[in-house]
Amino acid sequence: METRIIVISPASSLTPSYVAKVLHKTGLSLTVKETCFGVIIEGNEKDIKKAVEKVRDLNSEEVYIKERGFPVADKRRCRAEHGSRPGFCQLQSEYETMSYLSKSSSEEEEEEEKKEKEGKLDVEDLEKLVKEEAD
Amino acid sequence: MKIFISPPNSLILRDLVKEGGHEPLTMMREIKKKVTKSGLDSPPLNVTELDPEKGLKYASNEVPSGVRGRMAVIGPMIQKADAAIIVKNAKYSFGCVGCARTNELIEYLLNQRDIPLITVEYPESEEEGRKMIKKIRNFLDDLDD
Repeated sequence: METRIIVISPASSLTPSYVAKVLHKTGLSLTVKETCFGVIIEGNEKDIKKAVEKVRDLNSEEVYIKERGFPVADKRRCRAEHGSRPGFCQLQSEYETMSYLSKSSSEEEEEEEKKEKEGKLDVEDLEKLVKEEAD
Repeated sequence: MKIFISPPNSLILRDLVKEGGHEPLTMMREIKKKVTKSGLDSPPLNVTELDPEKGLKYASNEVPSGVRGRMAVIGPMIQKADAAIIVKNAKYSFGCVGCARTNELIEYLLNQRDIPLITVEYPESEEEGRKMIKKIRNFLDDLDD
């Protein structure tokens, strides 16, 4: 069995409930648990792969996915079993960071990259330009 | 390629490496092997006397047990890695989740290995975030070549 944590970036318009609904509609044999930061899914490797592709199709730029060591609702981790919060400090911290991460490059960046690729102006071309300006 | 990421449990790094078409070596995968292993050796988390022995390969007896315990899981991952990405000064890499001495040891061991390695700072603003993603993507693309 495979388990994945799907975290939706705070900048995204997607909601955990929407992602959960989409996953339910796929008809895959999955355990889907909706959480405040996204969704936790569990199932066999094949179904998980399909589900991950489906979620990435929704918006791959604003969705982050990682494995989870413990199964869904595992008694050693699940809050429902022993009340106290075991702590999601790292997830919380990364969730904050996500708000200023953008996986897609902006138009400005693309222009910068283009300029970098084009490289510097040749000396001869520069001389021509200077002459033209002088005339 | 197998890419070691530091912090080894990072969601963002794991996602970037996977999207880049590589195999991320993560802590979660190693923990999964332990906690879901059929036939529990040492419930509830399956930490046996063999684990500190593995850790001793990377850190001496005088080193705090937390470092040795972490290295028992992280050390073999470093050995397996074909390349590595280190994000320095992540808030959660020190405190209740991480361990500063282990991070230093990880960096040292990765530098000892002759593998492609990139070190970036943890982003604190939107611009830094964009730069970090770009650097990591370029690094991953270069590995493909």
